[in-house]
Amino acid sequence: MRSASARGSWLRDFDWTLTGLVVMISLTGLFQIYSSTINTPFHQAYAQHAVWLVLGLALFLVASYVDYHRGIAVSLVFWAGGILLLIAVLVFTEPVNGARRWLPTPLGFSIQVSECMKVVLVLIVAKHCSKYATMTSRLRDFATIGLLFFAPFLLVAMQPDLSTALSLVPLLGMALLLSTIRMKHILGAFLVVVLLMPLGWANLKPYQKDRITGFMDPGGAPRSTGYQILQSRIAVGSGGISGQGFVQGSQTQLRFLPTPHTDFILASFAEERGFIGIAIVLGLYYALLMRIVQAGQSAADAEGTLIAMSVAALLLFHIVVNVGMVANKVPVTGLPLPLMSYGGSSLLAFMTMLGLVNNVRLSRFVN
Amino acid sequence: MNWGRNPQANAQNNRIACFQAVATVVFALLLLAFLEIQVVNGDYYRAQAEQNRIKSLPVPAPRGLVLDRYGRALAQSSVVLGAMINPRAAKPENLERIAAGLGLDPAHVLERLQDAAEFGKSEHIALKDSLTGADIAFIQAHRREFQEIALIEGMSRKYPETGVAVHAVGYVGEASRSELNMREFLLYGYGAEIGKSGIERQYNEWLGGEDGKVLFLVDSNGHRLETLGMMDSVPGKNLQLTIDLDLQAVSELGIEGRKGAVVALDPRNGEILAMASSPVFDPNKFVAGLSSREWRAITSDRNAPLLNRSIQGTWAMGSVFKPIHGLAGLEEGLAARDFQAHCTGGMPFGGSYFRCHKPDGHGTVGLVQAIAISCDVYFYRLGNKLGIDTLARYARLAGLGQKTLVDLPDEVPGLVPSIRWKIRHTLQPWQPGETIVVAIGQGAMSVTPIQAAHAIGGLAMGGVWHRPHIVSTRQRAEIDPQSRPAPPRRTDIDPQHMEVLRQGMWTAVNGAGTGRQARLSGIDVCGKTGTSQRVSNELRLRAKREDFEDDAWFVGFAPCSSPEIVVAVLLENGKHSYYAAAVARDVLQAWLVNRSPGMLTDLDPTLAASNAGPQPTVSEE
Amino acid sequence: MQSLVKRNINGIVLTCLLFGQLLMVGLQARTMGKTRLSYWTGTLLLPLQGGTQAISQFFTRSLSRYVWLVETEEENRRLDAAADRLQIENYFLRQELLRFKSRTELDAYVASREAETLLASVVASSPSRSAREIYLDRGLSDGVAPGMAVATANGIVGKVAAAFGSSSMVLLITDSEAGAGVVLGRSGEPAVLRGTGSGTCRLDHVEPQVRAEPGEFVYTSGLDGVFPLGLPVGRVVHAEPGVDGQTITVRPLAALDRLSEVLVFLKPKYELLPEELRQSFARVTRSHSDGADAATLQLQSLRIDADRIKQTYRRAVESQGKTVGELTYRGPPDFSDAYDASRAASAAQSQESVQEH
Repeated sequence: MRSASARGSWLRDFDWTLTGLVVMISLTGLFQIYSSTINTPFHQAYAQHAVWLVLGLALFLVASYVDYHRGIAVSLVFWAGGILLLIAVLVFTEPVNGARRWLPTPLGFSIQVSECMKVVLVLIVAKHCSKYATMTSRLRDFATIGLLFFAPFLLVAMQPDLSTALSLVPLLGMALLLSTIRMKHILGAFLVVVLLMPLGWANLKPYQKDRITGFMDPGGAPRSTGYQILQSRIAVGSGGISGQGFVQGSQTQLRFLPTPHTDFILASFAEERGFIGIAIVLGLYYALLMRIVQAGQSAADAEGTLIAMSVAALLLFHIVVNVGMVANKVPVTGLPLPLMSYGGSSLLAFMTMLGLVNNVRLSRFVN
Repeated sequence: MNWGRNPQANAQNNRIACFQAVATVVFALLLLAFLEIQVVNGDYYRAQAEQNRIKSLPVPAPRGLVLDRYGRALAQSSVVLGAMINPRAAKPENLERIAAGLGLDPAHVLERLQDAAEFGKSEHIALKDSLTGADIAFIQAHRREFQEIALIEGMSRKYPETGVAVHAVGYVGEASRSELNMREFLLYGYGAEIGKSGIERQYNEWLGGEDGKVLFLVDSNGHRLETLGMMDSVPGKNLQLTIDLDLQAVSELGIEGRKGAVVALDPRNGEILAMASSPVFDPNKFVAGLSSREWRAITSDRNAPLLNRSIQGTWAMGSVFKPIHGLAGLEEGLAARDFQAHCTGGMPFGGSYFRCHKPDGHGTVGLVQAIAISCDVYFYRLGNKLGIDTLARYARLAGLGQKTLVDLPDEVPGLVPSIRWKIRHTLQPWQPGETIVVAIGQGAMSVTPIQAAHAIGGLAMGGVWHRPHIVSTRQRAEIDPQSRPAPPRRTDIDPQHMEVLRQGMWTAVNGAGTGRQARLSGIDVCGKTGTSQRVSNELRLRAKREDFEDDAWFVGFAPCSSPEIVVAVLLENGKHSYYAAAVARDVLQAWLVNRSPGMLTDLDPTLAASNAGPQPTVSEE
Repeated sequence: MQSLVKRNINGIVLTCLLFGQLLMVGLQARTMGKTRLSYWTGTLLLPLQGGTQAISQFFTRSLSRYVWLVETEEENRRLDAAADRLQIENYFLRQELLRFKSRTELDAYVASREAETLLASVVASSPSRSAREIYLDRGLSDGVAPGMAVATANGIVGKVAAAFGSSSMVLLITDSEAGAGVVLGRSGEPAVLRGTGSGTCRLDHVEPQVRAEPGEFVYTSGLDGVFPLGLPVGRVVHAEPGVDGQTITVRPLAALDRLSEVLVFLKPKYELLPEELRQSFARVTRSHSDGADAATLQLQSLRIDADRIKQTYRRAVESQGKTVGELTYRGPPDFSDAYDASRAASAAQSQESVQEH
């Protein structure tokens, strides 16, 4: 499929804009991890994160150059492997603080299988929905997609990690949006969900209700979720226009802000870099998102479009949930901010996905 | 764009455009949200962040020690772990549980918080001093819920538990609302600890330091990270008293279990060597804070334990007045050696019969014997000749009827009646019979024990009355370099007259007088007893009430010829003066042990010689 | 434009639904109205969760029942937990650690409180992983309330910091804001346990002369109003000498990072110890000098010179069979010994205070 001359043009066509945006956001994240952990027991986190960042960039390159069609071809194998790993997580690991999320590896670190599953699902969606992009979809196809999607969704939800499970939903949404699935099927599915609601309500464990209300009711628990919301708002607000300066944010440095290097990294960033910094970072994310969408629009085939748009949907969902949480517009959940939050699994997963997007762009003239 | 050619791909591109539009709107909304929080409300949140991270706590200053004349402690400050509460952060719903956990009255805590708010106090106020192990465990186990509570290493005043000199030293406590409005305590804020009585109050500013304050950064757990600013506390200065704890201890043991007072002075300079009052109270309780019920109980106690009887209570002086009366007679030339009285157990006057304390009479007595055996009839006659105003003049000369100006708060002046006083206060003319009563220290005349010691001490010095003081002169010069010791009040007494009075008081103790209980081997003690009636003898015998019993006095000094100590003992309802004399004897004995050994056998040869004559006369009776 | 909208009606509706949902939830979280909040939670999020829950339960049940027979394993765990409960109750019946003077009194008190506990499962941790909090599946409706002690048979876990309808949040004893009143097992000396925010705790407010040894057990003292008396807490792992006494590090006995079942101690069975017991406890744990002369002890306990001097005089007079101020012709008491003693006492005292400074 590829010629030597095409290979040469790849270097020229390599999406430096996308890569630049990724590197800029990642480095901003790395610096902020350094700043927000320097006075905590996790002060080594930035070094660990830097290693992951290098690994992530390597994965980005690999994903850019290995033809994505090959990935799509073996995606079902990946899918099956991922499912097995998710089951392994549920069965073989001890719950840490009530949830089984991490699978230990022989290399000494643990991985979050649910993050890897996002990459696999991007490929799965590309594989299966691209078929329907050009023909009239049937209910059976809809069911296939449903099965492929809901199996990992349920396994993740059983960990229980509801927020990660929910973050898979935009993948399905994007697949439905881009496929020619008929409006009546979507409406039908919606109706089924509505009818199932009372059943779901009855089956909900009581503590789960409390957990959700606890997450969302700031007055309920003095030092848990409500406290986080308040402290996050104070951190963001006290940043003002120009911020308090690198390693100067009192909310971050004095540990009023919870998890300032993972879920609330943007609050910490907002405190130290102010509105100007926030505007720049949001601008970078917006540019990145638009670049991905552009790659999708200009993709050589339906698979490429679906890959790029799925990644765009995932990215947008993560940004909305995490940034919205920091901006105090959506409830607190445990979703990390892509590319910035501390954590290897999420970073590597997004790097791989962005590599795929780059790949799609590189392959746009090859057919 | 090769699959943009077919219509479905076109639809797809439009859907992508929709996604772009939605993403753009979402980003715009998020940016707006940050704009609102950071730019519009930035100042508000910045202030919130400040409040989060900067905390201030008081650094209590230790109060100076109160020391006796040899540097032994009467009151000290010790470091205690105390709990303080931040009125601004206090949550009403927590109060009940906090109070229960620390054994406090929730209503009281609430009241204190309200008062603190009223007085504009925004810093921590004391919740409980001297925490027990259980209190500390309770607070530490509830740190998360009760963020308003801070554990502070504070200073707590410690007073003797056995009531040593509690009335003289006084106690400290939190300034009350009314005290905060006093001029004396204008500079103190709500919750400040001030001296409430005794020298704690008199020398409050010297003893009390200035509390410091520390501003520091805290992290989210309230841990101190970094001190931002420190206003050091200024520790209070020590205060040295003239009290001798050996004498003080014996004085208190002497009146323990009774109502009364002991004052021991050095008549040569007015230093107070011992000042005891009984019953005592536990000042440590006042430091910890009394509940209103405890306060009512202690203030309404009929035995008035808070009263410093040595300077705040007045009693009829009784026969202790007689040496002063004798002085008046001698100086006015009416009690010359040839003036004698024949005592038959009483004297009719103005239609009444005035009894002597000895029903069958003392026979014919001169001044020396009259003082020694305390013959009332002699002084009835002498007093009548002198008249009330002359008696009053000499009484005032001896310091009666006016404050001694001792450096302690709330001293009372006592009373020396005169014709003018009677008219002014009762609009009645003076009755000659009243002179007769005053002549033996009864009637309207009343004195405090310190006045009695001061008066007799000055008399024993030959007419030099030094102002009594409880803080050493050296220490006072340190406190106020401008202050000069008050010059003594002097009067020229004919040495021969002095000799007569001294002889009378020597005989009272060492002869067959009324003060024999005060006799000591190794030193000459002079003294005068007094038994003053509270009610008429008839009523006392009929009613048989404890509080109608006579008050017992003894004022003695030693050595007779050159006095170094004067001791006044008052036993309220003490029944008889020899009880008082026995107390004074033991105080003098304790003093004697302390006196340098070379002076132990300081017997006055002149007195012994001059008393060789009169002594048999007295013992004959 | 119209045609564009028409053609993309599916996509627009779906997108609007997704983000509209997010925005509404966000709006609700901001307004914090409880009724409306729970209404929206119920309508928007919970059915979804409930559905997944039902399906996932089906999966797990099938798996465990037919594939791995985990049900028996589950049963075993339940039995283990019941054994734990019995073990804890035992702690109350045999109190080995405290040599109470009022042993019988204390035993009676301990026996009078039957250990009323509630078994709860750990279901989650707080969203922030660094916080030392866990969530239990029991809440207000089961009688769980804030301030209750939580323990396993191995040792205490923490206390309930917040209780919701049917779940509750437990602050672990290792949290830097947690604390408990404890006693050292060997000496019976009281101390206060404080979390450090890492995996260990440290002992505060220990008298400077107290010596703890690594390996020594630490038990609850029942004085803090949270933990009942005599529960195991941890072991001293490190005791470092310092200026103000030792720095003592304690490792909790309960495996706080892998908890599954815990016991909640229901109130009001475990309120504070009664006042008289608290005092006798503090007294007994403080001084073990039972054999010492009571009078000497009393004199030593007087902390102010003035008290000591008065006491010296009192005893001198009493030893002579006299009282101060009594009517006697035997002469006054002899104060010379007392005088010497009072000087000696205050001299010793001033030396002591010099050493302190």
